[in-house]
Amino acid sequence: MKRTAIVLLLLVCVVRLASAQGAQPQNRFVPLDKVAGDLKRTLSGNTEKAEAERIKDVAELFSDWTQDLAVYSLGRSLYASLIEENRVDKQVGTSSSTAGSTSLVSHGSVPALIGLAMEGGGLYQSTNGNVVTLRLNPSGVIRALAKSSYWSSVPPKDAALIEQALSRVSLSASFDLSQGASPGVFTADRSQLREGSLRIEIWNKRDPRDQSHAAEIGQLRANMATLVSSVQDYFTALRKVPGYSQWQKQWAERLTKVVTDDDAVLEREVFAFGDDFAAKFGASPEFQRISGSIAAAIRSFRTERDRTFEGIAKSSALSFEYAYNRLSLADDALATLSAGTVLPDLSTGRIVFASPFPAAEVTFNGSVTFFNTRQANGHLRDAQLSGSVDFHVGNLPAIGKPVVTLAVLGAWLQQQPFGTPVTVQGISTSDGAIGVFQAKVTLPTNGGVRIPISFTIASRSEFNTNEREVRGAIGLTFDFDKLFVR
Amino acid sequence: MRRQDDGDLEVSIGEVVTVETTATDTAFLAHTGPIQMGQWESIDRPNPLVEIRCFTVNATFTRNFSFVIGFDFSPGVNGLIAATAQYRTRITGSGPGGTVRERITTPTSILPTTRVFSFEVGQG
Repeated sequence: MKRTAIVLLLLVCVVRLASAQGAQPQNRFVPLDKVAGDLKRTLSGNTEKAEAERIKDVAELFSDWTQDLAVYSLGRSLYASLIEENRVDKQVGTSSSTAGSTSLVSHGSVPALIGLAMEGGGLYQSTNGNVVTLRLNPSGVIRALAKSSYWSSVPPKDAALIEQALSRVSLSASFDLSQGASPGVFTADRSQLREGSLRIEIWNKRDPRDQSHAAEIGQLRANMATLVSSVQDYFTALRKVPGYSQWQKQWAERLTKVVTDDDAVLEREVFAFGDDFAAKFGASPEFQRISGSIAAAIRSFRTERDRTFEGIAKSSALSFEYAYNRLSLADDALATLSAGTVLPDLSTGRIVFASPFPAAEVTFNGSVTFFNTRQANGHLRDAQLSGSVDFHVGNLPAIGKPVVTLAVLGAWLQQQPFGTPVTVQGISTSDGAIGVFQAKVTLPTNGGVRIPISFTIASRSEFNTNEREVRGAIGLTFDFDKLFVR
Repeated sequence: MRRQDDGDLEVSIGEVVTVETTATDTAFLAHTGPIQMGQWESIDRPNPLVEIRCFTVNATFTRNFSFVIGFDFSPGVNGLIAATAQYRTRITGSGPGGTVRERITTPTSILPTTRVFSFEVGQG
């Protein structure tokens, strides 16, 4: 009953958040989407006004559309080169210490709202797992639900100290599908719980609104001057063209009559408007020249903005993570233990540091894991150090930019990994050092889904001290944040 | 400030015009260009998301003048622009007429985008 309630609550949250974002841009109006949007906003709210006033309302929009009409006059193909940005630094799946993880290293950022991951395989643990991980930022979800805004999930700069502190906290729970009363079925009950974690972001400067980026943002604003100047030139020239005022008046009257609720009609009229402008004014050599300057200024600015935001997105981040882990064993291994043996639970403290590197993101982890109950050699189970480099490789048509991750991990087991010797198929667990190397490719898809495929080589597993372990793993991660952005 | 049939804003000599631009769910990336044949008198940033500019119409202004504001939007912590990101631009005048021009600018298919605000100095 509790599980059903939790699942229902999550679904309600997702649906509520999605519906709260309002209408996404109407692609059918691109590249004249601003024209269509302004008409909808202006005409839908003033049906009580006299027609003469409505015509004035539309007429006053023409100056606002100067850039849109100027660039439209160059041809629609110009708009085809939209840039899609992909971040490489989000951890949606479980941490590396859980069987079934496809990540050797915990990354620097987590989703601002909700993330879901399904991962299969294992890294160096003796047990494979099929793990489902749910990760969320509770204060972000609450704020987004309350204020109907994805960005409201980021606390305002004047937020109370407690609100700012809470926004730095994220929670996750990982469930091992091979466990429980119905192996293979996600029941989210306690027997499937493999890991619960709490992450506290100590330092993260990756929000462009952070005051530490004020100078870069100010410079970026200033870089818009060339575009603004070119649009000013176009407008000044346009107002001097004989017949423009009369054309404006005729189209203001025509557009005022458009039923903006009917997208098909609006689309037809908006493009007829754009085509008529291009034919009558925009096609002249003088206007083509200024249109070219506007397009060049847009491109130049976008190059600078992409560089600026790429730099901000790769600012350093430092976080601390506490993870509670439940150990589990297959039934045949459990049978080798003496009667009454209870596997101890684990607590892991981990520091995650992510920093930019030329064309890549570098992440370091350091962790120690303790048994929650004292074992033969005390509480300390292991210490680990790991590092990874993430970088984009090319741009695959219809797929996007895959991210390649190369990672290494060194683990030192201070005592038996299960607290007590365990035998599986005649081989006993042991303490000692383990070295792991992993290569991973994460394939992006549309809508926030990513598919990580990893290949891992370990010097040994927890069980076998003599033979190398080679593993393959595949997963599926879903970042719900992407539902709430353009 | 009054509105003319062609959409221009009619202002009077001595009138103080205030342009307030407020950003929501984005870093402030609005750039206001110079007034064509005129001068900005003051530029204030009461907080990082608001800019307030003023000018007073005087005899040195040409009969028709305009200025352009460019708008861009910053990505959020997830690297993408928020669906709720917008700028609100509000233009008010101290003279007779009481017209207020307000524009909401949301992310468009091509960024940055611009808006032109056009004025005419009235004879009254």
